[in-house]
Amino acid sequence: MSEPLLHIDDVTIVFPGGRGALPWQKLPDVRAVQHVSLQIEAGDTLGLVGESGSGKTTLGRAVLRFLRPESGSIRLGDFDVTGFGRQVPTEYRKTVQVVFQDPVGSLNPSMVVGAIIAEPLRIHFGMDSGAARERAGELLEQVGLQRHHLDRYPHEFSGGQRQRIAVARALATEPDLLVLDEPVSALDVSTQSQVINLLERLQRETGAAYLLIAHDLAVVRHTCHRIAVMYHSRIVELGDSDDICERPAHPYTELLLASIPDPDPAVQHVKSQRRRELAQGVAGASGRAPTDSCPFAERCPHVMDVCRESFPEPVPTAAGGTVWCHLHTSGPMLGGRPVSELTTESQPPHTSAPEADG
Amino acid sequence: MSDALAGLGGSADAGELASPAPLPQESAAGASRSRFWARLRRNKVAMAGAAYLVLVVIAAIFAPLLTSHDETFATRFQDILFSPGEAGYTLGTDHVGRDILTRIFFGARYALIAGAEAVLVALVIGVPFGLAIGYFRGWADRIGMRFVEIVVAVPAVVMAMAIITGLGTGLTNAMLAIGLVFSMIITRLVRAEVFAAREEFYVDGARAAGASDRRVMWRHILPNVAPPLIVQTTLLFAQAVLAEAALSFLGIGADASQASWGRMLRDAELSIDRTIWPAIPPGIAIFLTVVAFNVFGDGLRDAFAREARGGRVGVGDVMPKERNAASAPPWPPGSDDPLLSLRGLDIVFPKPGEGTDMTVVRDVNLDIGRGEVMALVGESGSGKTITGLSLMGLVPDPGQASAESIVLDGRELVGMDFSELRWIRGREIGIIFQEPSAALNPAYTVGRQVAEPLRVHLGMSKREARGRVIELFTEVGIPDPHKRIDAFPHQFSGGMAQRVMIAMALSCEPKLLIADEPTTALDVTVQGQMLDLVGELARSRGVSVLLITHDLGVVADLADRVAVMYAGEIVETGRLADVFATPRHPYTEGLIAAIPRNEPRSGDLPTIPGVVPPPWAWPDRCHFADRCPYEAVECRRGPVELRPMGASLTRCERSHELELRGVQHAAVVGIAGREHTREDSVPGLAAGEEEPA
Repeated sequence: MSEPLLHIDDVTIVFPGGRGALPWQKLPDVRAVQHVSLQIEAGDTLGLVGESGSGKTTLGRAVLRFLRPESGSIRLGDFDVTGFGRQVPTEYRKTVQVVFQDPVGSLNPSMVVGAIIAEPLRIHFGMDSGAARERAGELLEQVGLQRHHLDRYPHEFSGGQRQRIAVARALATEPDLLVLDEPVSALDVSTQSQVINLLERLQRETGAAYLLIAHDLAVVRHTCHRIAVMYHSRIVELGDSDDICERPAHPYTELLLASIPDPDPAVQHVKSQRRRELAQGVAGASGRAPTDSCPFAERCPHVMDVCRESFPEPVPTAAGGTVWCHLHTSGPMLGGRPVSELTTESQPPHTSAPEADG
Repeated sequence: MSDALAGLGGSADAGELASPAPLPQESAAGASRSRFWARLRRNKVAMAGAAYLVLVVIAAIFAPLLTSHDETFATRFQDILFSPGEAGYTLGTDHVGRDILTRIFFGARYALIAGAEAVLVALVIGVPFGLAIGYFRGWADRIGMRFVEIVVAVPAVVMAMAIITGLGTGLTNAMLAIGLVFSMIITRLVRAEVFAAREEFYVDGARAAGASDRRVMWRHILPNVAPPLIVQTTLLFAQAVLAEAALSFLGIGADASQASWGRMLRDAELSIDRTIWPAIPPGIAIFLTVVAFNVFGDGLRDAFAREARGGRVGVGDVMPKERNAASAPPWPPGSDDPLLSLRGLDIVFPKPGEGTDMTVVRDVNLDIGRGEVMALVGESGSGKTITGLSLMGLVPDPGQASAESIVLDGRELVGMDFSELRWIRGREIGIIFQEPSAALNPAYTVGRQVAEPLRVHLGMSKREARGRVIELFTEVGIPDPHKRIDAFPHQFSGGMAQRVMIAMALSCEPKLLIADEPTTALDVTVQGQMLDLVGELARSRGVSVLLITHDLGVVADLADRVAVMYAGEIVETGRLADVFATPRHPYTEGLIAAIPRNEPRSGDLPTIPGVVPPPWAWPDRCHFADRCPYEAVECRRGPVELRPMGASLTRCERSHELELRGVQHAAVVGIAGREHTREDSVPGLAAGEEEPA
């Protein structure tokens, strides 16, 4: 394995708590991301999945160096991202680009598309306006729009088209890494797959690596080689897409999968019953992320005492990934096998999952 | 229509209504600019102000040409004071014999120069200062704002006098002083606007693109805070004219040689024992100029505000429409006694930029049985949201809905006026929106908001309503209802806020619940709970549900029957099992195929190429033909009617010969990793197909 392109090592991100109702009251800090380590190979796609408030967007913003972690390090190629001072090197801005969720707010409403795409070209390549315009036109064509769109304003385009413009702007600097923060979740399903297909084609053409931040595990599975599942500031499972989506080892991953509605009414009927069995208590992470217990403990159908006492150590899964869950080391001692083994009493045990090797 | 109709669902963003979607040819920005001027021109008061200001500018520029008298020429005799009309002086003279009309013209010059100086100083200092402290925040902001607060705590004229003491008197110094004070107002405004703009993603996008802080501030943020800045500048101009007059009157502004209006008032005071007249023309000039600036500024503000909101959001009733028997499609009702029966709904909007109308919803028929969940599905721009709104008489202005009939539980809604419909809304039809946090008023407790329909529609007392709200909260699964009832919307998570919305929609025990993308804004795990809740309520209370969504997975979970909309028309409708298993319209097939499912894949994801065309581009034949993989000659002949095919109705010329793929085309990998195929996992389906539709 070559040296990964992006190297996130034990990163913790803390937001100061701010002031309370009275001037001398200080609210406790919010730990948005705790002890997260991830790698992305060049040209690879990593999916970062989790609910709102899980810290996935915050981690993406740290990679973009919009904020600075409390501890840990982020390295990208030769850049020590956490070591940057106030001024982020222009060269780094060229290397990492971003596409946001909101296709309305992410493009400056007072600039025409040509100016939006030309801006990074002029900053990073010092192009004059003629050359920048020429290249912007090429980029627009590359994302499936037309050259004459250069003189239009963002509000003249549909959501999917605006996302294409955002992608064109991001690709203008020929980045090594593209942070995609919920790039399709605001779009119609039919448009979603258009944009995903486009992103995949562009990855083949440009060789850029993607960090895809999303809440929809089905979308992520279809787009990513590897998936990291985040819950309330922690990564709870990490592995290859197909393994995670077929043999989840963490109860939260299992719940996420059961929550994807299937369009087949009969399948969905079975699935929604399963989801009800898995969903415990009130859904949605709330409050402050605990520092010394499993954040999923309050919702977990298999919760044990130990889950409230410490955050688990990583355990390799049978499929080759990693899971952070006490079920694998205490109680049922799953030892990396799929968590479905605990929850399928009513169904015949399946034979497709490989046995744990240790 | 693209996002325009969908945008309405999330009531916060009703913005795009008046400018539905990409304009055909010309630049829409040009069009929106011309709409801005058109709106400004329609504002009579603002235009009167503007016209007056043009006169002031003309007077200022051409003052020497407009009069034969000299600005400062005084007759030698101190006590000569001509009345108006006397000795060729139209407005008379002041106590030293200077022509008042001449001095009014020249006064316009000083007023405008003084105003421009003050405003210029204010902008030059205030804009960069405001941008900087708003952009960098932190200690720069804290120190900067304390300074601003101290400066604005002192009356402007007093502050100006203090500064003049240091700089010396004179009009320019006076206006410099006024400009300094005004710059604090500009600073505060720009800072607040920058705070808001800084949260926009395009600012992050520009930073990620490598733009320097300075470039982000000037190139990206400033143009977007310009509208309020322009308005404030206009209003400050009026303030500056007043301040100039006040300082000149006090003798520390314009000097004796300058015919400023304030100076004229000071001079008039010297002869006040003889006549009050010389004070009146400059007084009127100051008054009119200040009023003109103010009304023009207000007019700009209104025009900009409309620009931002994109038009008036009003509501219109549904107009009756003649029944056209010939075009009436066969319509097998879902049940013999449907709760809601909608026939022949048309909705038209004026075409942007032109006087003609465009149809955004055409001839929609819908039946919803009692206790039935009916799903209305389609991409944004299909017209599904506005169809739902029309049932409540909530078609946004300037749209116009008409229908042959809308019968709800035996009552005809078409032709009811707004106040009658108000009783139906909330009482018989409840609605939940996509963005619960936007649909709740942040200023009131949730309890008060849920209680409101109870008190209005059911006439409950405060106490009764409170008790009922607690019951409702318990029913929709809000923990601790006794405490949560007094909480404010921002204290609720998205899922909990949606529960509050559902409680509100159900409070008057409606017969029909319209759920417009009820789970789109929620996390998947919360979405599941919400679907369970709505399904459970429909079953236990016998409430019918109209579920409007683009997510077929949600539909599969909840719906009994489905109507698929495309470009303003229903293209397929039938029972859920039939439509999903054997779709009869290529659009339905495309929607089903595009759903991301948890299964392995190879190759590109299936998509429907292209986008929903805007309403003015809908052809007079199959609307879907341009995106349809099965399109053939017959599809381009003329309008396609909805006709029976299998157990469903479909609007497709080729449905009889197409073998379209439904949801079971591929083996589905179940959640436990077990292979589900159609046979082993769908025992109910075969039976479902045999049932009569």
